[in-house]
Amino acid sequence: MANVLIVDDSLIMRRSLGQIIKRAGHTVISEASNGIEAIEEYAKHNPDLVTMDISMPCMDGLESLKSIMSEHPQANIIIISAYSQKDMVLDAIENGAKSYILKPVSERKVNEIVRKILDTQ
Amino acid sequence: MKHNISILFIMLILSSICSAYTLIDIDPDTGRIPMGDKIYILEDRERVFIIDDIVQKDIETDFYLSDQPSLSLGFTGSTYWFAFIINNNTGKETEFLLEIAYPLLNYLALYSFSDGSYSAKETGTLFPFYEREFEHRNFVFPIVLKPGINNFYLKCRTESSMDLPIYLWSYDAFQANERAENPIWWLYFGLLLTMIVYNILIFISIKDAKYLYYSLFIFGSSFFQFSLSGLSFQYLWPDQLYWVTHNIPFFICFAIFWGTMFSKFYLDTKVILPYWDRIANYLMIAYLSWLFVGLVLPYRISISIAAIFSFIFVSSVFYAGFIYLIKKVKHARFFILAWIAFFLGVLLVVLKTFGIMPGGFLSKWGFQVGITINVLFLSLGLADKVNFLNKELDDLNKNLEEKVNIRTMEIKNYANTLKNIMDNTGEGFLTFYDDLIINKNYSLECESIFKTNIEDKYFPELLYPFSEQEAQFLDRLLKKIFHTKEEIKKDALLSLLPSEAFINNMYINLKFKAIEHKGRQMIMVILVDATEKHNLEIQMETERNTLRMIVKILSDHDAFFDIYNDYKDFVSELIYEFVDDPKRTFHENMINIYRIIHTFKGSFSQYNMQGAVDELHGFETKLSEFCQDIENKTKEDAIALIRDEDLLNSLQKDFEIINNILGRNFFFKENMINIEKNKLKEIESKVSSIFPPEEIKIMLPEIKKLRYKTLKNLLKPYQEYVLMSGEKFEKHVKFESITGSDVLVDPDNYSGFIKSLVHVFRNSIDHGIEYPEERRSLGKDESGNISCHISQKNNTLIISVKDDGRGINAQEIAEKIIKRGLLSPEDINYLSDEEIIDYIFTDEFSSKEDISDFSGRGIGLGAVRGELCKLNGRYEIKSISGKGTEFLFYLPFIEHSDFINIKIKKVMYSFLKSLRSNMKDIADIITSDISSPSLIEKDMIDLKDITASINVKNTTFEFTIIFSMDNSFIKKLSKKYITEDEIMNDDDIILKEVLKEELNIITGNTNGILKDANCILSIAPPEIISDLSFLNETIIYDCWAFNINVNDSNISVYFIINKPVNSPGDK
Repeated sequence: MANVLIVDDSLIMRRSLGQIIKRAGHTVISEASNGIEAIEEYAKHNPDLVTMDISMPCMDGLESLKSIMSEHPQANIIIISAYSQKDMVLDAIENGAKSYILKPVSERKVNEIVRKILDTQ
Repeated sequence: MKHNISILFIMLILSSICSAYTLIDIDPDTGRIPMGDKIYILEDRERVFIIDDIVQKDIETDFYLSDQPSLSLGFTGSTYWFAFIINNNTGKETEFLLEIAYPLLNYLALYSFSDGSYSAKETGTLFPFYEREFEHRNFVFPIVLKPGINNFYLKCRTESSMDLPIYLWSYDAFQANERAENPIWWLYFGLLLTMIVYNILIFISIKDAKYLYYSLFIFGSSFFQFSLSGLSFQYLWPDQLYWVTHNIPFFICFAIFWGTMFSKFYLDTKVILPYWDRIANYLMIAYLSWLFVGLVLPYRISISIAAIFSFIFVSSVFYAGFIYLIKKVKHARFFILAWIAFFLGVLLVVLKTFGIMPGGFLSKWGFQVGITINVLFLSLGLADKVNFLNKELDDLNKNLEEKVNIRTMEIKNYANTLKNIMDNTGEGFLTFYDDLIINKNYSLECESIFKTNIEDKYFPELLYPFSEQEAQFLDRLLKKIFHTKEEIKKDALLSLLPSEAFINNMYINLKFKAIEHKGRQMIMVILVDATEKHNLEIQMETERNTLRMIVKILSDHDAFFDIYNDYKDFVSELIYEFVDDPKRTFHENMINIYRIIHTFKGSFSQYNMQGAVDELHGFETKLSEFCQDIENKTKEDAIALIRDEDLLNSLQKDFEIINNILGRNFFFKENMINIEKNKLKEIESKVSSIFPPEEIKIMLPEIKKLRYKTLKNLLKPYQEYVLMSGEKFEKHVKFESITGSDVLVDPDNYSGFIKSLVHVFRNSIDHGIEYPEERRSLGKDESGNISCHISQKNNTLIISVKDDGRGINAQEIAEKIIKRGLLSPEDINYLSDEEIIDYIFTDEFSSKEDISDFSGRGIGLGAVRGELCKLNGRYEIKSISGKGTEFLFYLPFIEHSDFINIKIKKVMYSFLKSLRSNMKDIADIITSDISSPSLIEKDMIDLKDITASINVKNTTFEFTIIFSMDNSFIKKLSKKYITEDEIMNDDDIILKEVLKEELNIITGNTNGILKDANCILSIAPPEIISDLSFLNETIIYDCWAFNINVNDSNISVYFIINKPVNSPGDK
């Protein structure tokens, strides 16, 4: 079972993802509402998995992802993207994201991807 | 004693001479004499006699003369005495050899008489070999023969069969025979040994147990014969006196045991002759047991049983071979020949053993010959079998080769078929490795898609020859896919691949599959030409757009003409003024023109006038280029640019399309639209067939509206009617104008009622308007007046038909009611005047006594009432005696005529669609029918527990969506996000967040549903509101309400239109 860091600027999205992740038996170790917080929280908790919203104030998901990946190359980061912006998703994956999930987030999809990532560990 | 014997012997000799005893005559030439039939035999059953007793016996009477050439007495417990007389005619003392050629005899004693005394020599298997006087495998006695008569007695006792092949040899002859015979023996055993070794070697080499069994069989038979010939006693076990005889049944059993085993395997009886196989198994057990049991039993018994076994063995294999011969099993013929030989050989031995067959050449060598033939044949058979197997193997190989060939052909065919299938599926298949260079094997369809041989082409460029950016993205993405090992990343990346491409004017559907081929990653692309489908869709969409254009222009024609006229003014005159506007710089002027053209483009695009949009877009581009190079341009250049463009005709293309559909008669007579009704009907049915239900809902009323007429128009025919009717009744009637509202109605809805109004007008003329003389006398104008006024109050249409006639006399009506028996006079008294007058609208009432053909059938006004009922309307009669009557008809206004821009409706329906699908996502919430929107007043907005609002903008309009729900329903929605436990806390913030997020998602997805680039909404963040105070500062143009029933709860959605589209339409 994994410790998960949820990064999203929307409170309800954080709650929603948190619930899904808890239901799957994992722990939400921390939450962050922007990219900078995400980097700090990652350093603090070193989570097994991060869900990262793409568009956030202060620092967006992609920048945050790059920063985390440079410090922690083993990080498991899933991008949560509101739009199917292929370039952005490809950028994210090239920069180390494991996969992506499109909003609105479905529990099935989250579970599927989280399980796949954890299985490969 | 010695003396006595000699006397007796002399007597005997004498008597023999006298009475012609059978003598064995020898002379100097004598070499070998078989003595079998020249011997006298005496059987001592009790085994009690000694030589002294024997010499007392009379040869003539007590002995009998043998009649067999080879003496064979079978198994016997008796002691035998043999007497023979050798007559030496050589004239001198000669040494001879007496051979008893059967080496298994237990005890032999030879008594020879000389000088009246006798000497005895003993031999047999009871004595070790080296004690023999003459070392030979057989028993050989050297004897000295004096000239004349020599008497001999031979005593024999044995457990073996009493065989005495007895020969008299001269030394020379014996040695000559030895020289001749010995090599045969050694050759024979050498042959057998060779066969043993040979078969063992084969066994070792090919691991086929048959060869081992066979060599063991030969081994057994060889030893048996080696012993039987006396050689084994001579060379192997010269002092093993028990073993010397008992080894014979042992080796017989050994040989037949392995012989059976060999036959079983050689003939594969387990499969071919199973019953024989079973019997053979039992026999083998018997052989094996006897092999050991025979060792401890007396020789006579063990050899007898062994002999029987060997007979059974030979018979059984002979039988099996015979059956195989019948069955025509190929390698059985050597087998059967081998065993025939063996069988005969054994038969001879057995017959000899039992004394049935006399000793002779065949009985001496028959067995060896049999064995030799047997070994030869079986070896041949084995070789044949090997041959056969080889042949079989060859055949098998050939078969295999053939099969391989056939299979290869099949595979080739299969591959061809596959290629054929691939080539004919109409789908393109191609593959590439991580260099993205297309592999050789691709399906034919690829060539018709790419119009070229695509082998060794670089895939991204092939797919996007004109878009470097897309090709680069694809290159990046594909390479990333190849170099991504993680399954999960790979899946994510695969889902980013394009699903469609436009290649050589074809729309190609793409499917990518990552597969492994020969240990290498490969991607297969399946390409399907979807152009036809796509074109159909485009065609459909074009048709839809055309219809949209027509419907929009027609339904919104006033606004359209405003824009059109503005445009005409602008492009024909104003634009030139704008170029030269002295208040601004030349650059600013051009930018301004660009902006105005852009606005017109936007306006026309709202009418889906694609032709105009394209034209203006082209002009825009030119303007844009012009502005970029403004330093080098002059006003004249600008004017030339504008002149060249022929902007006045920009709309021509669209107008032609419209004309094609609506007919040449259609169009711009001033600002009026002239269109045939049936054309409109055509459009209606087209709209119904090609648009999705949501859009039909919006569009159909818009077209129908085109058929709408004002009530005034519908009533207009009555003006003429009234005039004509007046003449008929010889009355002067004027019906000059229909006044009031120009409200448009669907004639279909009101035509029945309008037709029925004929009765009202007729009544007014017939009963209301007085004759001219009467009117004159009353001081009224000679001409009666009928007027009609139309008004609209809320959703009610009011039609007033008024005359200035005599009015309705309630008293007269009452009298008629009584006269017709409709009511009693008493009842009438209870009625007010109005109530009585109302009676004129009953079916059975006519106010005129004489029923004219014109009015008064009593059904006239009744029909009006019937039509009113249908419309759910009502009437009112206002009548003042002498002054006139007014009929007032109140009709519900069935369709609101307020203009609502299709674009806004489209947004609303897209929003509802998005909302519906969003609700569907929640498993336990089922949306019921989403009702149509209704236009409401602002004060009718009713907020529920929690309300969110979102501001939505486009360049042309702006509105606020209010999304209001009960707590209970939001809780249900929250299940999408969080568990019920958490909602239990009644966390208001959570519920508000849920509502906001829902509204956000639904509005966001509305954009996806709209797809229309001109429509794309910019969406502000949702907000939670507690009241409608924010609306105070906004001008509300329209307010639409949706009430969505979801289970036992409902959602309220309001669209507050703050800023209408730039064409306000009828408003």
